[in-house]
Amino acid sequence: MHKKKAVVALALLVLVCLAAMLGAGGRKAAKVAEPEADAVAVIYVDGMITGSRSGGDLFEEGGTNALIKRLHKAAEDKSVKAIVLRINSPGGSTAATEEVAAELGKIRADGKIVVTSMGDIAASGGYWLAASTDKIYANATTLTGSIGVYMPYSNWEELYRKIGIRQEKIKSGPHKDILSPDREMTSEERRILQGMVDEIYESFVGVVAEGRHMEQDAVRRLADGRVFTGRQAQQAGLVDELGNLYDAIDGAAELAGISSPRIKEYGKTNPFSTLFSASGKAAALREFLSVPDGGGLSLAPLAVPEKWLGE
Amino acid sequence: MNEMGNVLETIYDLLLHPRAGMRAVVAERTVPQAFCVVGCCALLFGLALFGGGGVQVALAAVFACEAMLNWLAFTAVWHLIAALFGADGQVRDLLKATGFAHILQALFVPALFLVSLFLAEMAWLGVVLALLMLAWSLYLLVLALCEVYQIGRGKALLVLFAPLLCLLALLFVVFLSAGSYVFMLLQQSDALLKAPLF
Repeated sequence: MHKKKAVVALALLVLVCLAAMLGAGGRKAAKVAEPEADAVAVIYVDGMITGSRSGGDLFEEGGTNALIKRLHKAAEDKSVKAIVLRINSPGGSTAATEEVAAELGKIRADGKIVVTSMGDIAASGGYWLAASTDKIYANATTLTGSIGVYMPYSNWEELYRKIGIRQEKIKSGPHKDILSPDREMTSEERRILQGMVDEIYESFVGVVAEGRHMEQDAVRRLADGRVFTGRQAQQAGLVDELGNLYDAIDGAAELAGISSPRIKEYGKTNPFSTLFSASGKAAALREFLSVPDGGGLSLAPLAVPEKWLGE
Repeated sequence: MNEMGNVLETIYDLLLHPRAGMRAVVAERTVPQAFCVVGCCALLFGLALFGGGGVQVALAAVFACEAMLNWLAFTAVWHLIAALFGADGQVRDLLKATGFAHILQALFVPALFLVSLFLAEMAWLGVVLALLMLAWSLYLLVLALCEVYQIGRGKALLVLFAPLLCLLALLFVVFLSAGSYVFMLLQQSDALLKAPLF
């Protein structure tokens, strides 16, 4: 008999607990959801800035597509009041960089603060992005600057002759094989390409002048392609303050008028992404640096220090 | 009424004297009773898990249905594996034994209540209780297999975990195949770069 009583008592206990939980759950559901605390978003710009979806892994696309998606998410998130762009990049393709910079411009136009925190390197295209933000923080030894544009070209004509290769082409126009490595560039082609490089350079100078509130001539004096340390860049007016990521987060919070902000990271890596991303990134870099016939470097104008390409 | 009293006594034995309780389940209880135990316990657990409200009650009902299907499917698989290992027993008895082992789900309701009260302060409590319940459930299932097929605990454990081991082996093979395929694609991307220029 005592067995039955014990089981009945246990069943009653279960029912009482269930009733209490259902009641508490109902009250919780009835409460109006409290708004999320104000946040500062941290978005990472790592490695070469390349267009398309390359450089990703099985779980997430790479390139500027992924970066722009993260910027969109942060922009649409009402709780995010400011964005810190953590840049660790030697630059990349100018079109991809311009695309991201345009997105940053839209976010700022909508009233959100965007602050840059420079990591080891934020040069060339990396600096282009930084100049498109409200405030720039750099470490004293960050490598930055390299304001300029170049278009790499190799002439393998002599080598081809030595090994007995002669490439024949049927082309639709005189410049269709411009930058072809099997022949010398003509003066007309050089003029065309120099015009492109100059035009992109002027855009770069314009972005820096506008972003840093400097005269274009003053920017041109610094924009001869040289790199600066973070401290030198601060003295030259290319960087606002020296500090690390957390100084940048505090600075962004201050600009956005929020105290003790929540930090919200976008594009967090997970172990599976890490596992699958190494080969993807290598493939992306290979793709970026190669032309389809395997004959040299990309035709896209580069905003990246030349010496890093050799590595 | 008397039968109900007997069921309650069996549940008491199952909780406090598991081996004798399991023997009584196999000898005296019926499959419809086991069916009711599985359904009621899963419904209670589902309600505690999802909470009150129309959608949540529907979810709890779906959860209970899924629990019953799982019970039938796993019992069938375990019976098949036990037969493959040469054990002799009735699937009806296994249904009764594994069905009554679900009684622990109902006991998990007060545990969930405790966790909901102290979750903020003691998050580890939920983990400890969940592990405790899992261990207890596994123990009851091992006893069920031992009782129905008259096999040792080692063999019962092997029967119990065989589906999981097969699944892990399958996942390993799929993972390796998918990995090889991805690396093959990456290798091929070099070849694709040799496409004509436009």
